[in-house]
Amino acid sequence: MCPERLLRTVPHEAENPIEKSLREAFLLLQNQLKPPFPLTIPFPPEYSQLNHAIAFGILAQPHLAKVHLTHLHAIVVDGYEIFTSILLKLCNESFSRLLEVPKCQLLWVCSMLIHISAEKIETLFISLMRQITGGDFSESNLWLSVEVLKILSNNWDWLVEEPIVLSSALYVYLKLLADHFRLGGSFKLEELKRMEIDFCVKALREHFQLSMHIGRDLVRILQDVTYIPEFKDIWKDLLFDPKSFQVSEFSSLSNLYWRRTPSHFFLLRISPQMESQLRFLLTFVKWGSQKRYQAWFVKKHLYWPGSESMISDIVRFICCVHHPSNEIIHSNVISRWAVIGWLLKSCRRNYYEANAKLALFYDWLFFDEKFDNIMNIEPAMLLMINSVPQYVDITHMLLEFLFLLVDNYDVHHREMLAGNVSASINLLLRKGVVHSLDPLISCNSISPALRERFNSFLPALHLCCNKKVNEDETSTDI
Amino acid sequence: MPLRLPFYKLVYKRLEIEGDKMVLSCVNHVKSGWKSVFMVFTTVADDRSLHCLLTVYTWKKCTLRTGSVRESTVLSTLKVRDPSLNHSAAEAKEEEWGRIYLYYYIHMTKIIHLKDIVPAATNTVNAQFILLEKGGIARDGKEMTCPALVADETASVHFQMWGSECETFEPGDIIRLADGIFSYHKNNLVLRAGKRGKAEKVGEFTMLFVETPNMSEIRWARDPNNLKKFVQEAIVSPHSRIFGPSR
Repeated sequence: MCPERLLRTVPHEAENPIEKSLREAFLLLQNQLKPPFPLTIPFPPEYSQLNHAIAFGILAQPHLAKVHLTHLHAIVVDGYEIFTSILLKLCNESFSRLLEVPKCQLLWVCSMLIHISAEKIETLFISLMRQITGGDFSESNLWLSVEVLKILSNNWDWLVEEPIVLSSALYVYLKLLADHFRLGGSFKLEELKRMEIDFCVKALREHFQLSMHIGRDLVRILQDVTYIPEFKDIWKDLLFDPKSFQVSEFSSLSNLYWRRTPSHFFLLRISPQMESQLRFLLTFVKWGSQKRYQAWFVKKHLYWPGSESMISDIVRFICCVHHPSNEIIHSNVISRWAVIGWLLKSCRRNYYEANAKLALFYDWLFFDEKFDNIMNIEPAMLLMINSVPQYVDITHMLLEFLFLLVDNYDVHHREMLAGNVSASINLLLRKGVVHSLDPLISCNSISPALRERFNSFLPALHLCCNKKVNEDETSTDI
Repeated sequence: MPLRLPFYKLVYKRLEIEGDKMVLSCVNHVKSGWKSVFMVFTTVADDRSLHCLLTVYTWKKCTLRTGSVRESTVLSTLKVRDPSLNHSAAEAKEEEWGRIYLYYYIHMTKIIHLKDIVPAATNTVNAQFILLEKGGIARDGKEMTCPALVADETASVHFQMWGSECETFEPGDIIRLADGIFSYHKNNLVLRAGKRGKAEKVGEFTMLFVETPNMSEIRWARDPNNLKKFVQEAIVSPHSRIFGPSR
């Protein structure tokens, strides 16, 4: 009997190696997959093959899935590690091409694996969340959003034991809410929004200690949903009643500023395929050759209205996750600042452009040499400097935005933010990332007011250093 | 290239575990031309030799996908799997035939760089490239045709798509061509799959390329020493004149 396919077939496309290995294992061991199951423990190569065969059975034969799963329980000797690895590989490399039935089955088996604490099930869920595309309101994407959320919402006991999954899910669904909430419409969508709100509110109100793991970017993404009443209340409490979250280390919003967001959060909102394409672009493609790759990237990932919501996530990824080696930096490969410049220019709507610029400068606002990485702040500076004189409008736009940010992001901490920006510029100069800021300061195409303001950050360098010394001596409670 | 290696290792490992069954299931994938050659060998070879041939043939088909060819490994695999070491003259002859056949096969299925292709009336081009641009779809009798610019790390060339290829392949696709043909087709020098070849998409985006030289924009002349071969005479244009360099 010819078994079902797992992935969509397209003419002229080579057979997917993962599907091939799963199907071949299934064909080979078909007869062993019916009860009664042998009780002998298979040797490693056969064990792996059996896992492959069972995986195919579960994905392709919904009516027999429970039988296959029972079989798996009976033979498992490695905590399901091989099994979840198979699903993880399939998810990372081919999720979008899965047919409807295997996709449903995949989610079903993932929910089953939670109950038995399978190895690496957390990684599998993170991978599933990465498959939910930002700004995409198609049926299938919204369906995935709902289904994953349902599983998470039904398993809070497990979630509380897995801080990474909980905080990652909070990050993902806060970001998705910012996309979804503006959409009116179907009953299903309203239900999804309601679920998302309930989930995020519960995570923040009842498990703030774990939510805090996100760090400073939690503030950034929360701000995009503060117009939603439940989050308006949360925001008010964060500002004026931090104690209500019942976490001793959290006495003020600025406590979050000092927590650098771990880089794995910035992978959550870009798919594995997007990630590998961006990494390829920034590792191998030479200056001058990037135009075609950029066009293909846009055609694949940024072509529908709403897709721009991912640009700020991509900027965050480039600044904070992808740090090229010195060898690559000094080679002829295209630089991060150039790719960011192209992304900024791709924004068609102000809202998304502003978010992208915030993503670019976010680490400047809170930079502390002791904990933060200079690679996070480097692209913004290089983009500003290198855009003079040919693309001076970019420099102009960025400078304007930077000052707006410093003045308005958090009016109660304006001085601190300004100090951190100064410290960032200072460090970039000291480490030789830029040799001199003269091209910027002496450029006539930039308005004198902006240049003067920029200059004002520089003499503050000396003051800034002294201030930091004083602060170290009198330990503060921040 | 580092990006291809892991798949090669995966395939090789699988052969070690499942050699027999994979071999047998792959017999059906033997192309018709090779099938008849195999027929000859089945009449003179015993099961063991055929087994060796099929095993290695299968492996070759797999490595065709990865693009890596290791002649020494192929031949030593044959030695390892073929237990007949002593033996009658007939058996020795079989082995000899086997090796000759396989050596021939290896050379026939090597993946080449685009810069090394030469116009010929044979369908022996095995190459991997990325599609840069598509032209307009036109009709040629009953079938659709579509010109395209493709390239690998060494050169670019005009690729003529045919039939369902036209709608399937998109710029950014990485394509593996097996048994393709590089020849004059209606006065254009193009690479195409032809009747015996096959083009398949194997990936997207992650491949480097150069757009010059363009092998279709070269004037070729017959080699005075060997009239069956072509040699490069002059460069008509460094870049494609149909598609132009990327703006």
